[in-house]
Amino acid sequence: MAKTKADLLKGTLDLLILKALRRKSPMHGYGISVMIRQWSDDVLTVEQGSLYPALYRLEERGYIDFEWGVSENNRKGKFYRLTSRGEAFLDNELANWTNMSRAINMVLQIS
Amino acid sequence: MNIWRVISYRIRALFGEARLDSETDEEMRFHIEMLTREYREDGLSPAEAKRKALLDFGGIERMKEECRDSWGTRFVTDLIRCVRVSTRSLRKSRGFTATVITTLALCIGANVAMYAVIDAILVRALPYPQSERLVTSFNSFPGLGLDRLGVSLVSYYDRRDALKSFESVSILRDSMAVVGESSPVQRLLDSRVSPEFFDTLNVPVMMGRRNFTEEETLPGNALVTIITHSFWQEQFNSDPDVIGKSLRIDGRPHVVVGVLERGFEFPWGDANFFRPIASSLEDRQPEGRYTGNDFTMIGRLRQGVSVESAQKELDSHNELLMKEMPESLVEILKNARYGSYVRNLHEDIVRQARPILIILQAGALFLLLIAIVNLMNLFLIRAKSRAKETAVRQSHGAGRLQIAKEVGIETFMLTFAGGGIGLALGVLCIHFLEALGTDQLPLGNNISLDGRVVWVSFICAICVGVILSLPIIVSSYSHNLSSVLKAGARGGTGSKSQQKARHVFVVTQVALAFALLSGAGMLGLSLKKTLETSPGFETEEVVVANIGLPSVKYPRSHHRQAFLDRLNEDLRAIPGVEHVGFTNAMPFNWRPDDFTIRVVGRTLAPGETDVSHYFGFASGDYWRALGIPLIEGRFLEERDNKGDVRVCVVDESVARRYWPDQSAIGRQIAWGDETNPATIVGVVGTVKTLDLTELTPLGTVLVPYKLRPTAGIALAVRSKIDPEILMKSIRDTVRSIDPEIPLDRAGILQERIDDSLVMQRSPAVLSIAFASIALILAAIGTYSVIAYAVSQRRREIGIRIALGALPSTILKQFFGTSTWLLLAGIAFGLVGAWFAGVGMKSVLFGVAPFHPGILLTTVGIMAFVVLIAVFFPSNRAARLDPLESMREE
Repeated sequence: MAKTKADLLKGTLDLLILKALRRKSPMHGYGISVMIRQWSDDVLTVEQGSLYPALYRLEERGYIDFEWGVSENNRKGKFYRLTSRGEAFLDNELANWTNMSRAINMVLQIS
Repeated sequence: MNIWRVISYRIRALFGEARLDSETDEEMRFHIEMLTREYREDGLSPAEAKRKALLDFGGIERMKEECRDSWGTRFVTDLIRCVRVSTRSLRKSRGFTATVITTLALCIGANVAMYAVIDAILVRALPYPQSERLVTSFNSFPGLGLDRLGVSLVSYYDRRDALKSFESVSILRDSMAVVGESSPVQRLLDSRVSPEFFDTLNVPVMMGRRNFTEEETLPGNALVTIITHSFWQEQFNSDPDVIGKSLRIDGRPHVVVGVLERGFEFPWGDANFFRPIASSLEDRQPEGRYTGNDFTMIGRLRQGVSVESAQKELDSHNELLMKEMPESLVEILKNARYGSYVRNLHEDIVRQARPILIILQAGALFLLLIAIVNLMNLFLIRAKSRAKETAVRQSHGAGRLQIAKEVGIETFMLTFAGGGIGLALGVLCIHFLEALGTDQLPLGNNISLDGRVVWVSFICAICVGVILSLPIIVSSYSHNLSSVLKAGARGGTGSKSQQKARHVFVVTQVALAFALLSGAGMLGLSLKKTLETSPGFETEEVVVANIGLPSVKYPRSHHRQAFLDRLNEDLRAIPGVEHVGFTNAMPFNWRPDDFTIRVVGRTLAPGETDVSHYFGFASGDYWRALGIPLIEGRFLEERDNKGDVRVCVVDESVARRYWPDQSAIGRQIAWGDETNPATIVGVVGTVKTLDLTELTPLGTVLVPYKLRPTAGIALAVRSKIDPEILMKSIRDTVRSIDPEIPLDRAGILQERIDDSLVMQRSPAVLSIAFASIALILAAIGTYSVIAYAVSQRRREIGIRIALGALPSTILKQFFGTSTWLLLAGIAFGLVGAWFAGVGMKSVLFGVAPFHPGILLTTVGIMAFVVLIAVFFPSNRAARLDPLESMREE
């Protein structure tokens, strides 16, 4: 199945979420979005709401898990963390990513 | 492990949808609050901060939906929710729902029933293995007026051995036989078949053997029979040891050698048992090759051989045989334009039913088309009235896909409901069709609701659903939201293109209904013309029946003559009986024999040949019993049956053919033996023999019984007595003379004629039913378009009335538009009617394909119905109270 641009973006978002959760865990949705924004210097200005569908997607695949907790301002919330499956998936994807960006770099330099 | 997780997740999601929904809600609300707080910390006002936060987050509803998507149960929950929503909205608009479902049910029902008939008769293969290789072959002598005869016994033996295209060749001939030991005996249908008949069909036997042997085709050895499963059950009580047992047929014991499997179907009559065709070796000599063409030939082609190549081989085979024949015979055959034809068996069996069935199915499809156009209009009106609601929902972030899905599901719910009820209706219709006589069609016994018919109605429902929902979905995609919202608010008159679309709908409906109506009119008129056609005799107060004299008990003609004399006397003695007559050439009974007749003293023009006429005996008061008029001379009388006199009576068509300007009385004609002619003593009226619609009569020659002493006899009794009582008296009379002779096909002569009309009457009834529904649909469709137009323009009309417009002006305006639509519809309808007429040409009797009277009547009916449908809403518009109309909204 050919991946569309939207699929690629989605995939990227998934990776960023997993990466954020590896850095800090557990974290609620808002926390994850803050971290991603900081990383990307607000360059990746996706609609922040689209984080949630991604979270559900990842949870269903078993890459992340959540538990109910209480946030800083005393509100009940879902706190996500990376599962071991998620770790493995992230490693794999990161390796792919690195390979690909290396390839792209190479191609671009030659031309 | 993982799979369990997924399953439990999905189940949780499915049942806890509401809970998950609120969790998502909570999470997102928290996110937005945090964002708002960030912006406030940046120094924005609370309102501005909230706005920016919402913008950053994106459409909440869409995100939620996407979340649900990722739950994977989206499809099911969505469906359930949509169904629930649709049910609610459909329940709210009961009238709409009822109209749609009723319309669809009627039209799909009609199509299902028609398709069930077509499926059984035209589509389904014959119930024999590799039945596509089965063919039939017949001889044709168009020059003799005989387009289609069977084949001769000699031809069978010729072709069986010579033709390489055939794996096997067999023949059969239907007959009647008397079965049983003593009274009560039965007269039953049976069939004479050649040895390899069941091999050719390749049907299995339950026990015994399926072939007769070659020895059993010699006279005296032929006392064996193969019986059907149902006959085995009835006659032998399902005796498992029936093989080898004896059965008395026509007074002689026959040995049962085989029992066919249950479910064996036989499209050539309802034979109960089969006996070998017996013939002496002399009968098989080449002299008889071109006579006695009264066997049906069934062959099985070799694998891979086409009908065309078999035809070629048969043609060259015939050429070859002609070379052996004397020059004079070849000349006769050439003039008769003799030919033998091979046809696919299935196609041949259904050849007469095919055109009318296809016409009726086309009619049913037209009906469905009208229904679709009608409903499309209704759906668009409904979508329009909900356009504002839809637009509001879209502006709140509901995806277009979501709206489209809802429209689709609502439509499909309706079409499936319609299809389901239609299917049930179709089943009822199948029974109704049976009452109309479809079971008398070839293969008509197979009509049933099988899986394929159910599939057809299912696919029908899906197609209708797609066709109906597409335009709404497309229009909802192309909508400019703000214009919809504004148009609704202003009470505008709606867009031009939509109005145009509705007008196209009206025109289409009127055109289709017009074509259907005129088609039905043509079938109806054709039936009327047929019914008005005189058969050439008076059918009232005539009871007819057939008897067969078994050759064991009545071997010689004087035995049969004695029986007939006695029967004649006894029947005439029944009080109230006016006339009694006997013949073997009764109209609307079996096909009479035909003989080639030679007129004594008449020289044939070059290229001309003697032609065949129906030929039979008549005795007693045959012509008076049937009410056939005497044109000239006299009827046959008792004295003609005695001594050496040879006289005959011919009908008018024969007399006119040979002596157009002179009297036929005293002329001599001969059949068979030319040296022994008979003198014509009377000319009687021509009768229709098999069918009221036959145009060129073959002509009939009738002779005294002594010249044609057949064993099969038809009797006719004219009397004012109640037919039931009379039939019983006739039966008792026959039984009192010989208890072993059963009466068969006893009935009223008129009923025979009615039965012969099944191919005309049922289609006429059906097509008129279709046309009535179409007319109602067209009326509803026109009404709804005009009513909608009125409702859309209430304000405008109100203002105009307030400014002084007369009601008649308003009325005129709507009538003006409608009249144009009507005229356009009729114009297209005329084109459709022309095509329908041309397509129906082959089934019409006495009606031209483009019949001005019918078309004018159709125009009248169409205009009346449409204008009535227009009148009510227009009238309402004309009487509008301007104040009230402007106060609305």
